[in-house]
Amino acid sequence: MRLLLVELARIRARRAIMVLVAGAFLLGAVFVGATLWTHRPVSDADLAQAQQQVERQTNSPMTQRELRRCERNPERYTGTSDAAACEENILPRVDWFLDRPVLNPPELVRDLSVALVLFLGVIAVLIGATMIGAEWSAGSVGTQLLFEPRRPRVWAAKAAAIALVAAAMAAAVFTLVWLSILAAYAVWSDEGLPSGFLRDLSLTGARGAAFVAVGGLAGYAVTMAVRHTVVVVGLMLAYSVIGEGLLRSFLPSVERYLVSNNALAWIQDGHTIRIYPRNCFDEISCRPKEIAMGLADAAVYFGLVAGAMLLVSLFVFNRRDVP
Amino acid sequence: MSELVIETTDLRKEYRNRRGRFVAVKGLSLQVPHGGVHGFLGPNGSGKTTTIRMLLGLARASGGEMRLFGKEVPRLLPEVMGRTGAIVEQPKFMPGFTGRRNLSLLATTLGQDGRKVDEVIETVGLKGRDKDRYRGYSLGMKQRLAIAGALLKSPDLLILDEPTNGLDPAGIREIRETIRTLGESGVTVLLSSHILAEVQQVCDAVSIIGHGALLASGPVREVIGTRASGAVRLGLADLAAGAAALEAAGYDLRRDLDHLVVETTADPATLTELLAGTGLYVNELTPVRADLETVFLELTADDAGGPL
Ligand SMILES: Nc1ncnc2c1ncn2[C@@H]1O[C@H](COP(=O)(O)OP(=O)(O)OP(=O)(O)O)[C@@H](O)[C@H]1O
Ligand SMILES: [Mg+2]
Repeated sequence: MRLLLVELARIRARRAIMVLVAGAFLLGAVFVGATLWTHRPVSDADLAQAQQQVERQTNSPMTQRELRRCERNPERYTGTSDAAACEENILPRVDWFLDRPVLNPPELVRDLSVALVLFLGVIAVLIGATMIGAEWSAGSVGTQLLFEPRRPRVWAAKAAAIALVAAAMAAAVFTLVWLSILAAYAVWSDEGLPSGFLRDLSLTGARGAAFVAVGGLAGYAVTMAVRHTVVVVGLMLAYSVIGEGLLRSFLPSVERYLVSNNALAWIQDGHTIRIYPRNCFDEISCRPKEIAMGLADAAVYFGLVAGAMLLVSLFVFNRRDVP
Repeated sequence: MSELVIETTDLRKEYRNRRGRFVAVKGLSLQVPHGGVHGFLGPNGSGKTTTIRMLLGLARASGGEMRLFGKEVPRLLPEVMGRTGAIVEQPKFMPGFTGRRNLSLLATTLGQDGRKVDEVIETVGLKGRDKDRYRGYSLGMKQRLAIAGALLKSPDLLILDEPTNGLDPAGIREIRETIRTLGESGVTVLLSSHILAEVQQVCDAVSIIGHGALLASGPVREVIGTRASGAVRLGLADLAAGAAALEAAGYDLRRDLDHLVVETTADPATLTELLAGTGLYVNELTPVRADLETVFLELTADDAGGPL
């Protein structure tokens, strides 16, 4: 417990980690900003502008020519002989210029949460890696072991600290993002939220926080074993940029073991992988092969992967000489 | 008390590197009794730091046994670590933290409050600079912080690997005084250092190692005594005649200003008798005192200049 407090104090005093945490909150703000901007309600100014555009287009010679052509031959344009239908068909309408999605929180839960949690996961990996990487490069791990020689305890305290910090960070960012979105919804819309929505949202948030904590642990576990931050950052980049793509193209059957698919399944509570055949000739042969992945699959996957990483990390740290 | 505070038996450490296996410590049996300052000497690369790292559980021994306060380590290290303060090679702290924060993290690890931190900062003379970042410390300030860290535990055993490295003359003297005071107050200090004059001043006993094995060990006077080359300085009225007489008798000698230095382990009386027999009378006879440096260089002669 004392060791955990030491680790938490150490994390709090690390500037690089505080910058990363601040980055996470900034990221949350960007998500909120972007979401609210694309879903902002139609204002009077927007409406006036759209009406202006309608007017301009209605009066344009091209539209008028088209309208006259239709009135001469309504059958061809509207499928009826009613010339009055032409106006309805050809003249622009206001909503054409107000093509904006309406803010609908239940629709956003999945996509927005997935993107947010994935980004937070990357930040957590970096936090986990830099937390212990900096200690290795300073050599202060050795100094600490002179004060607490039980290495497994030291290892566990650091792991617990990073998991706590990552989960708390994710929970806080997730909560703030959703509070902002729900507040905007409450102002903009008269409709209530479907029952079960909040439960869904909290569960998604909880799973997201767990995912981010595992990300932090993974970054920590690997850096603790290899003792260099850059190695871990390199590995993560290599895997996410080319690793998955390569695996995917050479071994289609590996899909269900890719981190990305499991992450989707975990955060969204289930995910269907679609594998499209490389060459196909008709509708049937072109149909993708579908693999359904449930929450449990992803839980087992991350449990095993993270568990193995942590065990190896603990073993290596316990055995190797410390400079 | 003759209880051994540090005891190693047949301690071994092998490193594997690109060229194969390298034995840094081979069969070292070290014994450090309770109380006083014990020098731990050896040329560069002789295995001092490696031995210390094994004792403190930072490095794994490849063979042999170690005990601190009679407890087998590293297995029982948690039981004795609270009484053992140590500095291993260069100070290693988080560069972005202040000296004080670095210490207080360690103090919290021990379950201490801030008072002890204030106390040790005062002791090592870092007051006023303790709230600066460690990164900005000079070498000597870093070393002082490391010593402060070692003192946090109020240790019964202090293991100091080159503690005065980088300190200014005043700092070296302060630390020397601190070490001596600690040694007199019943703390056992294992002091590894290359400054032999300093070691001779503060140490009650020494162990000298070379190539990872023990070369000599015991109270400083004994170590110097047994290894002293045995020479006497003679004062004579007629140096040339005396030199001729001694050379004729088969002695090794050299002129040293207005004295003769005769290499011999024989009783000085035989020299005076011989000279008196030829009508030369000795007006001064002093044994040439070997010092720790001479003994050290003699013992480790095969290492000097050789490959590390
Ligand atoms: N991590 C390591 N890997 C490989 N060899 C090592 C390692 N650490 C030390 N050695 C080797 O072990 C030998 C003993 O080194 P050690 O640091 O114990 O010497 P030392 O007596 O402390 O020397 P110095 O007086 O220079 O501090 C050296 O030859 C060194 O090269
Ligand atoms: Mg050394």
